[in-house]
Amino acid sequence: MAQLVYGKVDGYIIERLAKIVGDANVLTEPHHRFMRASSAAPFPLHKWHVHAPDVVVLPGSTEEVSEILKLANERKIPVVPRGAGTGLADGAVPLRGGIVVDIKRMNKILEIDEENMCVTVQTGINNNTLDIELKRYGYWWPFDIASYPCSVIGGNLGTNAWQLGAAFGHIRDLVRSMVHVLPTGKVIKVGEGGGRKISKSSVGYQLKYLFIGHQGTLGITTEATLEMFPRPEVEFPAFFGYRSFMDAWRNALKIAKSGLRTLATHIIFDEEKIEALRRDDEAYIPLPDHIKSVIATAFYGTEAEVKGAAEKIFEIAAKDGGIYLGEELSEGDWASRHDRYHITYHGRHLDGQVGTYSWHCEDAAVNYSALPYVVKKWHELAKEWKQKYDIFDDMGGFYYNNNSFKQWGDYLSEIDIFIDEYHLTEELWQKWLELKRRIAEVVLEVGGSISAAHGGTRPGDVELVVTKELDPGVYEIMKMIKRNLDPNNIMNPGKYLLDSAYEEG
Amino acid sequence: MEEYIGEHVLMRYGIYEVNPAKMKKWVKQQVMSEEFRRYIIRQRREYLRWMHELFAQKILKPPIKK
Amino acid sequence: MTTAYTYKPWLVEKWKDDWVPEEVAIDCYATFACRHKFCREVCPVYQETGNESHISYGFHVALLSVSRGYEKLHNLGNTFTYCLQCGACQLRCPNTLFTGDFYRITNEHNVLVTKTRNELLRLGFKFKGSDDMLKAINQIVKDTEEARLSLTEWAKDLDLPRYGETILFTDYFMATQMTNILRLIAKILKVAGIKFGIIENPKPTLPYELDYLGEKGIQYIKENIEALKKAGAKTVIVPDPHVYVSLTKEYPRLTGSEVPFDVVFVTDYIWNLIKEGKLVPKKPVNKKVTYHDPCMLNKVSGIWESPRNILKSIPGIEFIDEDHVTQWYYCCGNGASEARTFKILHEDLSYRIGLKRLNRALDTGAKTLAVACPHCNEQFNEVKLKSKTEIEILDIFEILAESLEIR
Repeated sequence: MAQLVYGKVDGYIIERLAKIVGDANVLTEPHHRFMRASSAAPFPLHKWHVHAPDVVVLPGSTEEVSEILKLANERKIPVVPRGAGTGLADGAVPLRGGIVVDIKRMNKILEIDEENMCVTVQTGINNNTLDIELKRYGYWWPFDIASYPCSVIGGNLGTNAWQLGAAFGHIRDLVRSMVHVLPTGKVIKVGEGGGRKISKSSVGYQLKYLFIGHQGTLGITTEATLEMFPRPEVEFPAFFGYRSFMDAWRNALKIAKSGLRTLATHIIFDEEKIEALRRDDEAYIPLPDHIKSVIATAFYGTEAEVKGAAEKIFEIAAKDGGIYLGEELSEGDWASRHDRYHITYHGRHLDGQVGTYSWHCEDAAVNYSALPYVVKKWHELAKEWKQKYDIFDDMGGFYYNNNSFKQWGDYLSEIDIFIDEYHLTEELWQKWLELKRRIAEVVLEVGGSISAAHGGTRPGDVELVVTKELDPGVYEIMKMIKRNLDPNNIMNPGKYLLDSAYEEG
Repeated sequence: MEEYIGEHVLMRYGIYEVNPAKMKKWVKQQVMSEEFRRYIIRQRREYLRWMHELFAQKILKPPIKK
Repeated sequence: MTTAYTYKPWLVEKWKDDWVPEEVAIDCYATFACRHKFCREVCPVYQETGNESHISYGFHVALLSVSRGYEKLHNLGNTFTYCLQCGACQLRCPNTLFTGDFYRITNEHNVLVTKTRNELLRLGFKFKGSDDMLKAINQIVKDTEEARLSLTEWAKDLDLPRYGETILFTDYFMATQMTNILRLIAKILKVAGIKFGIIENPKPTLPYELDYLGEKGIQYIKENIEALKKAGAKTVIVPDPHVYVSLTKEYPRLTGSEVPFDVVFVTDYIWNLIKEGKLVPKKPVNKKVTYHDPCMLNKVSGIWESPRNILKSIPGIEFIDEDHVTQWYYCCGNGASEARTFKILHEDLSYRIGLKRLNRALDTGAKTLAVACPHCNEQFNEVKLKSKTEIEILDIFEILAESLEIR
């Protein structure tokens, strides 16, 4: 029988929680709870209360997290871990109320090891903040995720997050070991074999990767030992403009196969994206009319290596008519990559008026060969929905190299659909879910994955993930793992439709 | 002196801005002095410089055309 | 000369316990829509509490939850005490930093906090510390009305007229609490050959807090402007960053008009004198110095170069700089209030934030922390005393005066 009967968060529970984390760190007032109800994905603001937790706790240590989970099991209360809440797959969105465990009080750097080049942190630390600290010692945390100034390591691990400089790997390639609290409250140290600072071991099962990307359904990670890089000597961003998306797409393959090791990333901006930027770009640098598509490249490394690579990239871009867009645009746009694209006022209503929209991006993983088809189909869908329902806007798409340490293979494909949640109704919300499904279906058509970076746990996605994308045998194993590690189904229950793991037969 | 770049963006006072006609229905604009707009631009420029410096010691300049 | 200010005209409308105006709800949604909380890591209060409810996103979304009927305004009071009004979040918010100039819309967090606190008080809802906060502000009003303290006692032997095209202007705080610095500044100006006057009875400027005084606050604005006009002021030199914010931003917000004279911050003015050769710092001052950017000056007013230039022009100084953008994350712990509101509301947090800043200064290897704000000065000295931290706190004009051999 699926565990759907949960205990209530009553005065007794609040008291017990206060004993664990201290009075000041138990938040019961509505505003504290409601502001921790959403992720960064489109949110049904019209029924906000459905996702508000019953209480929020701010633990300060692994032991406190363990105690909270033990209590939750005792009383069968749902627990949802929360990092920065900037995830885009609703991992942090409670489906059944319960306790939100906000990990951000645990944000210290525990150890910097300059000889073995690793840094150990509590998982509530933010990427930008970690890097600012490491810079003081001459080191670098190169995890250039889109939410770099905002997201925290715990959430990055929980979502199996992705970064712009895939050349340095994604979060799963940048963590050596973790301290992880299982749904029962048991604490384990998991990594490469038994060595905390070991980068690769063949001892035991590769369980570290199980606890990366579980969307909080398999416990809460409280500490992590991460890779630490030397600071790069130079950065070189270069943006090139093309006459069409297809020209850019063709050029992208040449860039991907260029063998330039200091190339961190290349990103294709499609025609709709350039159009959206051109219509009223606040950092307005007029682009020549014939530029319809852009590829952004960024290099990091020693000056000697990057200098050579910089000359090469100009040669490669020229092969498909790529024109360098200048220092001001390249440098300015690159430095503003985390801040600029999601701004609420970018959205426009059908009457051309500026609205307040919430940025949302789909993030499918699509093979290079399938990109043009997906791009075409996606924009057809977005246009159709925008015309029918004035709460959407199509701000175009970005296509980023997805493969760790390589520039080829597949792309994190992002279409930026802005949604005006302020004016949502249930009917419009259902229309959004329909659009979400249609977008995901296009990806499955071409053998891609519905999510490269965010997760597959959102309504609109998850049904397809479970029934169409994942191999049935794979999903069976997921269910086995879930019900064994979380016998009471208290850990972020309902995500990935894993209630089905508890059904008899 | 106003100069329209397309129907959506204009330049007044030397800085680009959205056509204010587009800010009438759903979102309203604030009272804002031109000096304040220049303050924002200065701060943004400084932030971008800081962000570059956070990642690498220096930005390489593009290769000179042969 | 135009000053840098902005304000949301719809913030004058009155709220209810379960209602805010639509424009306010839209503003709050605009912040919710972001979802990213760029405002979080820069917040000195969040850095101590680890509680996301204490950041700009938290405050805006709290108000959104009121507008949507899930929360009542009176429940927000205690949460809204957790703000220094230092200006980091409203500057860092991409709605300001990236598109503020393009759309003419920004995150105006400092004023939102004032407005919320003021509405709570107006509706009769107290919050933790509100009585003490009002007591402190009302004491300032009382002192002003009773003219209990002479606000020009500090200048009694300096032979300064009460008129002039150039006026050195401060309010009660520096005129009674930091008279040593004020005297040094006056003497430095005299040595440079500047003819200037002072105002006999300046009224409190109280940035972000005049709202609590209602009509009296507006009256104080009018009286200050009248007094300056009457004195013939064309250029007003301001040595207190809080007073600077009042004159350049708060006065336009509360009255709809800019002040009718040029307002110059003292470091900009004196750096100009050094550039023009009217002041020549000669005597070496051998100190290892780092500079603290005051929030009201750096974040809110965008002035960070002239204080550094002054320090670098002084022979003997080993100047260790911390980037002024990095300093968006810092605060002395006093916050925007001249009445020391944050210290009253959260004494321990104020102390911890200040101590953190002192330790950061020591981390640079410096032995002296140079300040350009009398409130930072007072706060750092309090924290230094309480924590027994071994660091020297000096106003940049104390250092400059030493080099100019002015006592």
